[in-house]
Amino acid sequence: MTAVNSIMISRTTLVIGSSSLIILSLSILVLFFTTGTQAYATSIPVFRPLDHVYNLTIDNQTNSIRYGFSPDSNNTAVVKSMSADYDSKSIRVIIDDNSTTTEKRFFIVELPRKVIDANTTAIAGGCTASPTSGDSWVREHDLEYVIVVSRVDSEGDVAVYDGSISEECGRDARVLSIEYLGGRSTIVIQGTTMIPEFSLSLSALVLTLAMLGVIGASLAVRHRAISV
Amino acid sequence: MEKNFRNATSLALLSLLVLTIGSSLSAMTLVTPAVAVIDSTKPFLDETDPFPHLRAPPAPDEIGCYSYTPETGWIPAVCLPEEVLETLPPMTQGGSYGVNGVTSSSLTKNHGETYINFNEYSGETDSKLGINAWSIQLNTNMYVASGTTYWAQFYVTQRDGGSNNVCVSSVDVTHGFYNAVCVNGTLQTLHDTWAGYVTGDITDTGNLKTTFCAYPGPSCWSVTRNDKYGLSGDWKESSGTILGWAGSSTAQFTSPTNVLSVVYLSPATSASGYTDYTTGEKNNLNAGTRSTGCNSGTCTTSWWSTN
Repeated sequence: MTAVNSIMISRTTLVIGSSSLIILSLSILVLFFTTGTQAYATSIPVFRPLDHVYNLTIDNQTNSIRYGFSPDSNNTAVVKSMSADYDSKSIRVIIDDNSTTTEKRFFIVELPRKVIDANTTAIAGGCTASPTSGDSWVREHDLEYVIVVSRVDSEGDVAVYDGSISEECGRDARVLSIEYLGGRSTIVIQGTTMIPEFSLSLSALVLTLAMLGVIGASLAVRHRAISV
Repeated sequence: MEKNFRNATSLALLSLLVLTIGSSLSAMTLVTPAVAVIDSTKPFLDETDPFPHLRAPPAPDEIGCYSYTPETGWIPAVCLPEEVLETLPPMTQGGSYGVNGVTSSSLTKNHGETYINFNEYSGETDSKLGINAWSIQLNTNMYVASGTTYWAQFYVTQRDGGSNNVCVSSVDVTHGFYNAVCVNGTLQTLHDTWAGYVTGDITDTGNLKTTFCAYPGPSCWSVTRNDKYGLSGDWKESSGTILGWAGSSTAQFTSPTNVLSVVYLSPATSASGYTDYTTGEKNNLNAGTRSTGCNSGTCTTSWWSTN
């Protein structure tokens, strides 16, 4: 909701010229004081739309990843592929954007924390629920994702682009707004945890508990037999 | 008979449990603490020699990537492929953190170097990537050609448990593009007497070359690439030290830390020290007074940093 508000306010500034400064200030205030929102970049970040879904397969599991583009009035930007690499805990996105816009282009993606997250054991930042929201959660161990945007230049070399990157921090998901360039771009988002890690731990735990149960039952049967 | 069967069953189940736990543990990454090797022959600066610590011979000038040990000499290595380069964040431009350097009036420099020598080390954590992630950078001045501002960086960057990369990056500052060519080095463990250096050269054939060497050994890695944005004829300044890993991160050293930085620039017979604000990476050390001088066609500025 915050991002939607900020988009609407930003557009309003174009219409009401004399009030633009006041509205700009308000939009910044909205961004910084609304529940669970944290902006790392200095420009006004855009976190919507999230009107597309990519079914990302990780370890034979399908995970729905919501994403969108801004601006994308003509649907000229498309995700050619999205793939995950468990070893490096990263997601690689290839985008084709053939529009001729001169505006800055942003790829917006919502990353469920259970799919990919970046955190540490130390207090590193992140976000918490607003005291007025009636909700209660803390995500203070968040690290920033390592994000690299690149394309192949006219000489065939990989050129890494140093553009704007912002994040909307949430309890269950983190939304990234990543500036990219026209043509074909590659975006690599690297975290510290990825979904098979959780499922592996869980399955190991379940298996261990099951084995303990079997052994316990076996010992009980043995004890009963000895007593008899 | 029944009792023996039950005992055997329990033993089998217990073995299976141990096997299961063992398998689970083996699936996780076990980190073995690295042992710091103290080298009693570590190189110290000799003020009468402009390059006293260059124990490794020069790396090849031909375009490519190389590695060196005293046993093997320089041998070819594989440069990092495209799919790896597109995962490496750049040493970003644009920060308010001042890094010491040496500057000269002429634009004909062809060699620079950042030399790091710890005298006391208590640990380091990068603000973005955690323990033992850092970079040693040698940065040139920015220069303008055909209305576009360019910059060159020679560096080694590493993340603990990940990679150590030695790179030359040609930077189009105006459009925000970083074009790096890199080779994998070996993860370094900093310690009380750790020493290493990063050099940057314009070769006789007009290529850009970087070399990173670490002691003991030294073990070295080198990259020679084309001068993509024409640094040759526009190089007049060198600056650098040990900084955060990349992406404007900060190398946070645990107190007490005491490290010597020396930045070289040549050929030059006169130069002055200056504070450069080009790179975005930082550290949390307090830089002491720098000492600048020239000797035998090479100018240096050096300073101790502590916390």
